[in-house]
Amino acid sequence: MTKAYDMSVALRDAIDGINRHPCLEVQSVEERDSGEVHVVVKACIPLPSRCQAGISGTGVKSEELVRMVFRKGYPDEGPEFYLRSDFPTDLPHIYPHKNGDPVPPCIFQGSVNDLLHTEGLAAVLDQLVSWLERAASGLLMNLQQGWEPVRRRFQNVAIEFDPVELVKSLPNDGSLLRYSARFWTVGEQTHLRIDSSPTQPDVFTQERLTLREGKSGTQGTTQVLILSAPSQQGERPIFEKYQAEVAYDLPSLNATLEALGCPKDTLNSQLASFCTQSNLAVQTSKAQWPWDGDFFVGVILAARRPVSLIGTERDIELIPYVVRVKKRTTAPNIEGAEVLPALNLQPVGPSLLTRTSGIPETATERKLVFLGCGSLGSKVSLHLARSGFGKQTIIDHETLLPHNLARHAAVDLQFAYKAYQQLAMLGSLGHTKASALTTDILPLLRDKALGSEVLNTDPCLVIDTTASPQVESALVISPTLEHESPRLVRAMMFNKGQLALVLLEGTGRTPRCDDLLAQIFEACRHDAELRHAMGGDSIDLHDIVIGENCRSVTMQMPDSRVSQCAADVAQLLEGWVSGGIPSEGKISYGIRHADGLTTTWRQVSEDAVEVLHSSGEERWTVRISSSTSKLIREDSAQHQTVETGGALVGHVDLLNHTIVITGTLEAPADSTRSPTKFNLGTMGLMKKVRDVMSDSLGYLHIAGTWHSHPMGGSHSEVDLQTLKEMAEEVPGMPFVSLVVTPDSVLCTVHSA
Amino acid sequence: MPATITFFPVDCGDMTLVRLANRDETSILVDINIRCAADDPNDSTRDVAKDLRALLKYDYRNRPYVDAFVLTHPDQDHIRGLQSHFYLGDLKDYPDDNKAKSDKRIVIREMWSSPMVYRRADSTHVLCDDAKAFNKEAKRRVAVNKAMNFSGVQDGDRILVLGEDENGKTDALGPILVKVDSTISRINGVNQSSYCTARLLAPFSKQEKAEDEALLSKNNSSVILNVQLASDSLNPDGCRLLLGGDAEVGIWDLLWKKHGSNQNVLEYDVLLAPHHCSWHSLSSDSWSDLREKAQVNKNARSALAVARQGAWIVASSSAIKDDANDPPCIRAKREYESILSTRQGTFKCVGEYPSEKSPEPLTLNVAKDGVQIASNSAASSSWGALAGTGATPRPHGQA
Repeated sequence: MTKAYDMSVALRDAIDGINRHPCLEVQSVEERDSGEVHVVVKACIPLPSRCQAGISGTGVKSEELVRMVFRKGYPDEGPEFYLRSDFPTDLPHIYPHKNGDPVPPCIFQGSVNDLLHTEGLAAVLDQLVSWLERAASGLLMNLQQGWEPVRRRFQNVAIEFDPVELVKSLPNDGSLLRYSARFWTVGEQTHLRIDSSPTQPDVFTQERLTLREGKSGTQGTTQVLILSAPSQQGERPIFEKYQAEVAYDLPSLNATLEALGCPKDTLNSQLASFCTQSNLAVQTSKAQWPWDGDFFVGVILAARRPVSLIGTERDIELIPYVVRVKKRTTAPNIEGAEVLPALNLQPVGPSLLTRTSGIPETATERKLVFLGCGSLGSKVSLHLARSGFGKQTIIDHETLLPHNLARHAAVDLQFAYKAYQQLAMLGSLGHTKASALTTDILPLLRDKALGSEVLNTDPCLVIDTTASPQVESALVISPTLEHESPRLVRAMMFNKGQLALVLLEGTGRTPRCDDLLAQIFEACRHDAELRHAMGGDSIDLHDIVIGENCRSVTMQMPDSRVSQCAADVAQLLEGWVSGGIPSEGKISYGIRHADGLTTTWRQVSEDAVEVLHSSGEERWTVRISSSTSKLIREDSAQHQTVETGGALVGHVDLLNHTIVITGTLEAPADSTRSPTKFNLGTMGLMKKVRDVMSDSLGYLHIAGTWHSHPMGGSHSEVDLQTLKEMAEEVPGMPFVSLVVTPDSVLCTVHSA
Repeated sequence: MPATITFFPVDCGDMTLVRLANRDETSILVDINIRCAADDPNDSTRDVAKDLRALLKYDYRNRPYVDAFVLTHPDQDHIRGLQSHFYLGDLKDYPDDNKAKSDKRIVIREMWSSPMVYRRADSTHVLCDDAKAFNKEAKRRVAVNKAMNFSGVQDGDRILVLGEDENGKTDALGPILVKVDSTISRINGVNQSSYCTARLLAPFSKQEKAEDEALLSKNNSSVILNVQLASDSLNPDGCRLLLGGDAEVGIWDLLWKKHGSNQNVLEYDVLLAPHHCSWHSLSSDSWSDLREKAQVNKNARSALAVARQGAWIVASSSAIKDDANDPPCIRAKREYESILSTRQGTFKCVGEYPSEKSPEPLTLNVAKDGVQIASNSAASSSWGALAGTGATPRPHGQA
């Protein structure tokens, strides 16, 4: 029953818009009792030039009538389109429908509603006309790009499975493959998830789910039945004919089975048997419906196509359905089942995550080892896991305490250990190749036999996020981290997150993490902004009460700041792993600005350091930054005929007996240079010495002196005496003396 | 993407882009006429260089390129804008990598040159600067090919010479010489026979022109190609595109004499009307002098009338008026319309599409049964199209 329609403003505009379109003309407007308005539109379609009698080779006419259905919600909800019921359905981009019903074209890959609201009705109409044009010319599918999978309209029925894995297990003989599956239903949503390996499935089970707001659903177990045409002479038959989805009940599904060469009796008898067996397993009375809700079974038909499916390297299309018997008062019977065309949803896992992040699979397949899984480490790890990096090893021996949840990626304490909690989160993202160790990191670093398998097998990066001084110290001299071992990254935050720092060691562990850390403090000497961001005005660590009789010493800052830093660090790592890890060392630091929004990142490259062993106290190793090494050589070369020199700035690691030289102090003005002697003056030197300490936030100090021997030769007796006297000025601390000759740099260390 | 043929509105001149249906969307550009006015942002002349760039692909170095550039003959209205918009020279020296995308010159991976590059300039053979630049580049490429013994030649150095020139000047060109009546399906070194086969119909050698000096002019040395384009790999004969350059009546007369008994080689779904819809491609008489008394050359007309069902004849010219002008010539248009009348075909003048006031590129999609014009869209008349802006960025917050 229709009646003349009093058009609302939006609809009147729409009808005007249709009439303005150069290819469209409104033929009639009808309002239905439901409140829908049906606008019948004549579309004039240019056909390919050799077509005759006004009809294309694909069966599209040069004038097609299109029924546009505007529901009550228009324009919140865009119009739907229907073509004549005898419109050809052997074309892609047609939604499921019953044979003989008007044919619904899928005119736009995205949401028509979004298109309407962003580009306007004109763009929606253009899509319609373009769809009809391509249908006329047979260009809806370009076999060069691949086979278009049969279309689904609604997202409310889905089966979750990995098509690549499923195809691998597909039988050749046309026999039925059965998987057990879990399902849940809420409102109109029905979601089945195939269990990861084919098992002998049980019967259908179902229990009621009570949700909030009075909503309820069901969950349980069922089967998914997979069927394909039997191979002929060892080859799977190819099905070239495209067919839009028209299955809606068992007879129409059987027609599809026939078209795809699948043995329909096999399927029908299994459906009937599964329904009966499931009923027998739980029934209390033969005449009654035994479950809380509808009965479901998943069905997937597999068909080999002439070319690979679009965007894949697989020529087998998997067409999923859910066969549903609606709940009723009488006993279940498969005969009257509905067939719901279903979406295939890929389970979450490395390939889905990698595709979503856009990072190449060759990168996300690389192994990463995380030392420490605290607030920063857990978040960096989770970011990378969500980008597809699943081969992660998480090493952390600490357990999660309630206060950790303030900033850790974990949201509960279920798995006690931080590493296990992280592993569980990675597992829920489908990363089955992740692993966790709850052993102490230090023995792994100090004992090569213990740590080598974990730290040296395959990983491309070992990422330390512990911010632990012990780990830092162990990393420096770790025998486990050999020269050819994976590259070490250290990520840390300073001053309540005002500075984020990432250090990447160079190849062959030069520059090493201690060289790089000393270098950032050297940079602080010359950059007040960096110094301020790193040091701030207050101490970093606070006592935080975490229980009545217990406190934690930690850095006070909100979770959002850790997350911001973690996101930046994760992006840096993703870039390195996918774009190639630079061979040299890198210092990357992000300074957070006062606006609370901006973080400015800078990156400095550091070349290999010069490593010298003391000819005096032999336990000391001196590591000279490449810039310092270059500078003292150039200065020596400039003073060809006389000795020259200056003071050395560096950091002393008393535990590891390592002195890292990061820079120099120019010789004071009262220094004297002669062909046989360099006298380091004292004018203004003490102020400079104090400045080194304060500008490097206490990390660097005067670590020794250097001078040149233009004629060659090692330390003279005078040199050694001077060194001894200077060392006595700082008892307990080693003092370095370098002699730069035209050929080499010689080193001796003395401590008083 | 389907294979497409795009005719750019360049007034009286030619500029046609063919894109194949293969995965790489191989591009063949036939002639250019990018006038200064089109390059002037303050001038309302259609910016065809921008239109062209929008249809081109960029290589891994982010340089725009065409796989093949065909010069039918070295007249200004077929080569104008070459030096401003295309890179000429060794690709190792490409200087535009740091320029904005729209300012980078287009790389020509393979040149398809008329043999006239070997001809000396004289009073009948005057060359504009762009034509001289084309000749110089063609000669550079021929030298590279010869030096490499025609093997291992890379993008940017490739060249085909279409047709033999007089006095044996093209004899030593080995595999880069394409003789008349042979076909080309290797485009930029890749066999594209599933997607494109181009048959070379002209230029004729001097002998074939029967020593007729008039037939040695630039126009009559024009390349004529009949290009078969696939709609996809399963349908090689999607469409036949006959590109007539500026060939005049004598050449079409000769073509009919030569192929009248095997008309298949002249058959087309789309004909780019020779010489911008000039009467001189159909008749030896002067239209402006004789008007309706001018006689059609029957052979030439027959050669241009092997139209398939529903064929298109496209005039790349300014709007065609009922006047004494030639080209474009109203009488030629009428003759083409009469050819099409029995084939239910379509005549279209690029300068009038979609309107004389504001012409746009005319694109035909190649289907398995001929060509199909992309219909006028409603959105193209909206503000976005007027301002020439791209898509407005959209926010995204949902997974």
